[in-house]
Amino acid sequence: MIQLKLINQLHLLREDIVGALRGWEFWLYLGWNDIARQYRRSFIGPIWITINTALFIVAFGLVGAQLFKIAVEDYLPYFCLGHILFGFFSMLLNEGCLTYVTAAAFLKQTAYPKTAFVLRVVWRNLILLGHNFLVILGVLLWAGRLSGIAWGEFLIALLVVVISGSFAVGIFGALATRFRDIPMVVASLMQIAFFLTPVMWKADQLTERARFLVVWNPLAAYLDILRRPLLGESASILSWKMAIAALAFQAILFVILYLFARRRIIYWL
Amino acid sequence: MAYVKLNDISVDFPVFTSRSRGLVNMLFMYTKHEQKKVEKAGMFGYIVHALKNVTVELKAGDRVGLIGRNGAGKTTLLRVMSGVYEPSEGSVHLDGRMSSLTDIMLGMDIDASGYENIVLRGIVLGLTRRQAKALMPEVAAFSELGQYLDLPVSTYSSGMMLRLAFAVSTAVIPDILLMDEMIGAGDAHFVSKAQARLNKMIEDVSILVIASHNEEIIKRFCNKAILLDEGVIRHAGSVDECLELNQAS
Repeated sequence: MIQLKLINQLHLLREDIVGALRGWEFWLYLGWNDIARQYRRSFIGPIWITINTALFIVAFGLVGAQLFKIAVEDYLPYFCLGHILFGFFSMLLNEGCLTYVTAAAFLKQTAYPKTAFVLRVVWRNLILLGHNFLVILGVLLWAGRLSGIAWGEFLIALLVVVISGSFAVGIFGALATRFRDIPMVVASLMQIAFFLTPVMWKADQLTERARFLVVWNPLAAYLDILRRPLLGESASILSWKMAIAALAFQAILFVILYLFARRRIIYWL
Repeated sequence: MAYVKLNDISVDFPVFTSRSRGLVNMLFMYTKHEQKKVEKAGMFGYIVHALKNVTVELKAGDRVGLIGRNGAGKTTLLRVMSGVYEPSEGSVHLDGRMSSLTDIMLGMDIDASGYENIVLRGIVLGLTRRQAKALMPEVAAFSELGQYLDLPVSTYSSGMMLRLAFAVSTAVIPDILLMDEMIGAGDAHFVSKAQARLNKMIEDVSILVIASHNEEIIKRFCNKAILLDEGVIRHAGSVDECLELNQAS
């Protein structure tokens, strides 16, 4: 009986995901409209965020290079990529917590696939990352490293991160609908993670005893596989292994959670 | 062929208290060795049985009125029929393009222009972008908004906003139409026009289910009724029987 129920839930989950992918226009358009809304309110819209990011990166990049005694041409691109990419992870998880809570009116009126709203959040954040990519390209151009970018490796890494991120958004979205204090917990954990992840410092500056911060940190692995190819280097095998392992872990967790939670999300809203 | 089959369904609602809402609270509940209390109250605090052993079978041509007091389970039943609530027990079989017109403004963005909102609203109704764009001329003509459609909806009066929402929402005829109270729109001139359009829509759909406290509406549009009371079907049958029973209670 329980087995039958699980198989049934698995089937419904598959239907949900297939339905969301088939109805791509729905989340693509809603996600786009989330960004367009910012443009409508002020002419340059989210570009404000890009300008803000650029100013911060230049300001801290100059100071950081002094602090860590690294050449500015070397440090600024490193920090710029770290800051923007980590910001992407952080936004994704923070907004991921609100995936269903903010879609309550939709979910209560029509039986939309749940995962369509996960994809909406991921897509919206990818568009914002695209805006900030202008800063990345600008900094790499300044540092004369634009031609060194390993685009192939970067795109594969981005795919891994986006798939991983989608599972994470799904997981946090469901949990935070049930437990309304999770967004606050995630926000404060991500703030701490910013300092524990090699965003502004370099992994090789750590002592041997503190290496675990990098080795056992999936965020560090995601950051590494995305950042290295853009800097024209190749990410370590260890980072790739960790990133793939984290992806697999999240996928399994997502499926197990949704077998139980998918049909309940609407009752938690 | 469109149909709605609900077989012996029950819907239970967890009702969260602020204590069970927070993960941190729940962790503390356990560490304080309050397990027994938690179990006793259920993990959720309370459970409300919103619908109990409800069986409904609707086929093409059915025009069903849901009646009953506040809290009888009308909205919950509508949400089960739309597939929003998956019941805790029993089985649901649905077939046909479904549309619930409970909130006709759902998905609209007041900062976007009227035309953009036609597309947004269309996509929220389940259309593709191309299909939604194709609605523009017809909706523009019916809503009589003319050049206003180029302006952001935030500049509209509430009546104009409603006209736009109504025009898009009624532009596509579904197989199964679910309504929680009758929708209406606008000033005196528009009301009769809107009424005619809505009547046409109601005639064209294969199955209509409308929950309403207004007897006139039930009598006018429905050929069947379901009387709900505390989550149970008290009577299902002709409109007159159900209305009579409802008045008697």
